[in-house]
Amino acid sequence: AFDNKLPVTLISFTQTYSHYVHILRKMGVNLANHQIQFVNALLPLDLSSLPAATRPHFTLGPKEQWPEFLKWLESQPPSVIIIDGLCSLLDQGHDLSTALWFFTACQRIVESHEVSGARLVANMFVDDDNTEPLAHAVIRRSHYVLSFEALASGASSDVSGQLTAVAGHLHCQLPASKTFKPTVLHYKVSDTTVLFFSPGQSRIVL
Amino acid sequence: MSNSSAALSIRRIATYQQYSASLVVLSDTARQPALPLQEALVRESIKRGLRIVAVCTERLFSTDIMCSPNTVAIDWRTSTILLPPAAARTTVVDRFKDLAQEVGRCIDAKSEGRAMEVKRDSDVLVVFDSLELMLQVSVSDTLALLRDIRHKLDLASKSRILARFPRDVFTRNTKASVPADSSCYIASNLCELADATIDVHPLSSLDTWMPGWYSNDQPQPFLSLRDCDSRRGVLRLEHKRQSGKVCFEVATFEISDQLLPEFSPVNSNTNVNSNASTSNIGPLAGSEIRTTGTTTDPALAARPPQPSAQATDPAANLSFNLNLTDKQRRDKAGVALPYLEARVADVSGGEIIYQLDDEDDWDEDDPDDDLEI
Repeated sequence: AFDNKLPVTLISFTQTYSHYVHILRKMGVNLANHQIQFVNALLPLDLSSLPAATRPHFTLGPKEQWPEFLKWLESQPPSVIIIDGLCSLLDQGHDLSTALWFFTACQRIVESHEVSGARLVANMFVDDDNTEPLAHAVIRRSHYVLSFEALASGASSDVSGQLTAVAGHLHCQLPASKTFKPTVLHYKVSDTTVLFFSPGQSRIVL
Repeated sequence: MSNSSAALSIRRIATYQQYSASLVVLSDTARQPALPLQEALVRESIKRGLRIVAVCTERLFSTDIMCSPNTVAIDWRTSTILLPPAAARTTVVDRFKDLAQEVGRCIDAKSEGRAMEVKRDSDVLVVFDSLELMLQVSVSDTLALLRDIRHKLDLASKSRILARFPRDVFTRNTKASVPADSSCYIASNLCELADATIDVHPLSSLDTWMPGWYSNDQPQPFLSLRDCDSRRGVLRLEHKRQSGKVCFEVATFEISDQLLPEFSPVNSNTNVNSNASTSNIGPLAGSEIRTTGTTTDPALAARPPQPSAQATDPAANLSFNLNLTDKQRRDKAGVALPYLEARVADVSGGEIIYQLDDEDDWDEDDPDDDLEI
């Protein structure tokens, strides 16, 4: 999104703003040159006393206040909306339909802008029976699904994990649906970047 | 399309030949979507001149369908069914009634304000993009809505309802040890209401497919490249005919380059490579079960079909070829066995012919004569 000069709206249920600020600085991203808005969904508290550099632009309150948040989100310019930890809604005690309603509402806002590049990216854990129904429901409403998981053969210092990229259920409606090829990649997380490579094609191996 | 695929019930239903099915439910899972097949069936209907009433509760259909002159869209995405979680019950009921009335108006609507190439009294296809949200809001109102719309359709015509339904959302989670709740009955209630139920599965399911669903107990991966082909798959059709018969059928489908559905029969004895073409397979043995009234007997439905008259070929699933060509058979029959003539020549008795060596000292006497036994 930053490479294409698109603004980013980051909604996080798992971390504070300072966490992402530190990561972006390590990756060499100068936040002053990019537009990023942070929505605090981790703590329903008033964080206006925080310094400007780490103060969230909006705090997501209880479920009854979500329509107000969606109105605010709709009023923002077209951007890439990133939801980190969507499954945390289930951990907070919300049911599947509520979590799905939140996701779908954000998706509607992105689609209403009809701007090329504006998209919704949602991140969630799929590690127990509680989150798998939500994952299935989100896959149904996605164009692409990226699954990050550990290597089946065990831990490795050269490879952090494997990425499986497949088409979501809505991919058939895209013009380029015939040319997409599902793929499996390995990746290595370093201090400042992430390297992706075909299985067995790591620089250390070669 | 080959003659064997022409006999498929699913193809007759898709092409509106002979079989009537007023309510067709297309069920899928996260592993294998049915959206491409649903849109292909809609395009087939447009091609045959039907009017389309597209009820969009979550998403619009592809552009070519929405922009077709045959299509009238009812967009319920932003305002109605998708209600905040705390919506009042009366609000929900009113909105279902409004939707039923609007669909009824579209079924009876004249071609006004839009250039339509079809006649007003042509058959109509009411298609729901997905029943998931509606069922989550209210199961009873959703089923009532479907019944209501079916009453409005002329059962003697080709008009029908086509709805997509995620069966893995509304069936019990078999991994968990929690007792079954009402959600597991939603799928059965919906299938009971439907005239035809089409379950879509990945092509890899053919490797372990048996009537009644047999699993090799291996844990299924959450995402698999083998299953990631929404344009092809296996479908299982359960069709309740007006005569009372219930027909089960398994077939493969593929979405062609023209985005229309193509169906092929399946030979359950053949090991199918999910990456290969699906057009190389033999005829299918479907089963027909006669029922009384409109209910089906679960015991009868669970009975496996009669075994095929063809014996199972043990050499069918090997990676190398054990079969003989005609020339090989002729050569094999022409081989003269070297000892066969000697074996059949003389059966009167055996004779041992021994040629003494120079060292042999042959004594005609009995060597046991000196024993005093």
